[in-house]
Amino acid sequence: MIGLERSPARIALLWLAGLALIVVSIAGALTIGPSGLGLSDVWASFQAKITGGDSGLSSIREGIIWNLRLPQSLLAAACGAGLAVCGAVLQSLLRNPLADPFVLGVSSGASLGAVSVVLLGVGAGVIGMAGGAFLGAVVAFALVLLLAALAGGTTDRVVLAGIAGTQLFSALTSFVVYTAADAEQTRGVLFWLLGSLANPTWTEVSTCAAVTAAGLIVCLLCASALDAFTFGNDAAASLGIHVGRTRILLLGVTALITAVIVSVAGAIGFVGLVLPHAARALVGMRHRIMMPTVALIGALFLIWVDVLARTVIAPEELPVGVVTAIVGVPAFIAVLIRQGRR
Amino acid sequence: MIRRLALAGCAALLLAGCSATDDDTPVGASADGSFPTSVENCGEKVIVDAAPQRIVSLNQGTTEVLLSLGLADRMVGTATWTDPVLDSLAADNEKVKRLADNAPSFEAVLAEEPDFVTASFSSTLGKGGVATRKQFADFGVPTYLAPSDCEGKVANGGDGARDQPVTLDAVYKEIDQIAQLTGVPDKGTALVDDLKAKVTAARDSVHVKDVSVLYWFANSESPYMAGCCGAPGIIDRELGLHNVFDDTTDEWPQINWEVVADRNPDVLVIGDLTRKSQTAETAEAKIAFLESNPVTREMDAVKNKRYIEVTGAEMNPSLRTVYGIQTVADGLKKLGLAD
Repeated sequence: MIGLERSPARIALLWLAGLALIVVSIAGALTIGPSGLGLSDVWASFQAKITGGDSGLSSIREGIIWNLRLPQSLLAAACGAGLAVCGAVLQSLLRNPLADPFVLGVSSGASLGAVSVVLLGVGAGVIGMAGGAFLGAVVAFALVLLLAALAGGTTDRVVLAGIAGTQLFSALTSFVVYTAADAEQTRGVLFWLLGSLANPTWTEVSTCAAVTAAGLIVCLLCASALDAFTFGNDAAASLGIHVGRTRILLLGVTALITAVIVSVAGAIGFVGLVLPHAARALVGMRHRIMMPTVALIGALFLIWVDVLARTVIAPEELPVGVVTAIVGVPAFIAVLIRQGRR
Repeated sequence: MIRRLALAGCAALLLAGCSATDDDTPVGASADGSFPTSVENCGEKVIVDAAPQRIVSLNQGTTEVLLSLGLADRMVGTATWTDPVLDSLAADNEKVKRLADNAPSFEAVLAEEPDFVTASFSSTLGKGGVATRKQFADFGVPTYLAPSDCEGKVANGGDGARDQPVTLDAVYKEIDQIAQLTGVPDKGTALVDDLKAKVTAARDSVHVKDVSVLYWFANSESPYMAGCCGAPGIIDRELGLHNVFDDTTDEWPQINWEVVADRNPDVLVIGDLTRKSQTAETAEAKIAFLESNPVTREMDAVKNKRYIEVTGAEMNPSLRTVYGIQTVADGLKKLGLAD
């Protein structure tokens, strides 16, 4: 493991292999779905696209491959990478192995925003469900930071404020759902609480991908600061890092990534909490190496979880957040056991 | 119970919101069954270029309308079933593929290559449902949403209550418009006339004395009881009943048992549901609860076993509501509460 960490060539090879695996996985995911369009159809369609010929598929079937399955897999990759990076950053920043993108109340704030728009009609038609979720996430994040600052601003206070905020927003969400929704609508908003990658638009996909990529770059620029944060604020300060400013910047970036992802795909749990630990087990603690690795792992993980989500109870579709934990927890336990033996 | 606040969900998925204007008359001279034809529907213009041959219906309400119009041969899929299909439509329904008991995935619907998709609830055609209307439109598939689930938005300002009672006119309009869009306007007119005759027959079949009722949809912990203005309100008005909860404008408020016992209605109209998502779904479970709970078993209606069983569909605004009027009328006669 140490050797891997110190050998740039092996790291580069690992990342290349990861990228290749993601491309192959997305291609594989294109051939799987409830409509029975398989490898040969996708290949025919792909060839037709390249050569400009005719695939023999109807336009709806072409659309299923390129405008339904493809954006969904790409969204899965973007969300998986984004959530995993957020988790890794927050765990280091807050020095808490249980921190995840939702510890700052962002997810429950987003749910409250979405539910308010859908059930109470607050601003409906102007901002829509995604806009409501985004606003809710940002407001929740601001409130949590304010609360944390009032309480002293130390890392454990941020975590506590986040937990308090999460509880409050969850309760308010339940209140709105209970008083305003009927069974049919509850079903409709449930996906915010469980997560769903189903049927994204290309705009949603590109927004998520762009925000995740930009966020990853900012975090990479702060990689050495993050390394220092792992040893505590004092250690970081003694290395000449503006502790308060850097922390606000990184918290803001992770909140933004999470807010965008939640507004598109709902609250997908587990990815941000657990995958950073897997990445550290694989390549060690240094953020410059660990963060791109965790992004690759997150993308790969969510692509396949999404494939499972849309096939296990086909023709219906499971919320992806349900599958992440069911699939992920055994994998995580395996990683933990392997680590413990070492 | 599906509709309280339908408008808000609707607004979320239709950026334009739902039009509640009266401008719903067919555009162009297409009411004669010719194509292309179009209607204004929930804030969108639905344009159908040729008579649909591969129709998918995503909710039971629109499914039963399509089957009643004799379109089984042109349907390729149904979904989201809450009750057994109406007896008279069972044979036709057998011919149509059931895509899923609940909401199918978007891909599963598209795999049938539909050329027209209908739904009763805006949540079905929304984020978290099957897909939005825009997403269907991107695949070149026109969608139709039952007007009963979007109109009234302007009237109640999106707070989840209905201050304008829903009427069967919304159901008739749905039938007329679906008939027009599928090229069978005459069958639509005939179906509406038939339903109107059924309403009249049900109304005239009983003479109700002063009777108070409640409508219990489901859930025993915090029961959903009908407020003034949903489909049960239609039944009340036609038969001259008094709903003990008609002081609430919410369509299906959840009401404390203490209040229920206190209002002590003469008759309990209870839903016999086949779904399994909440407590006390079947009539049997509801009656067992009423007769064992120490508060409710003291109610007059429970002591005298004055229950009338209806289906879930009959308590939602749909063509089944018409059948619900007859069901309740027959029940009242059987209980000796009407001549």
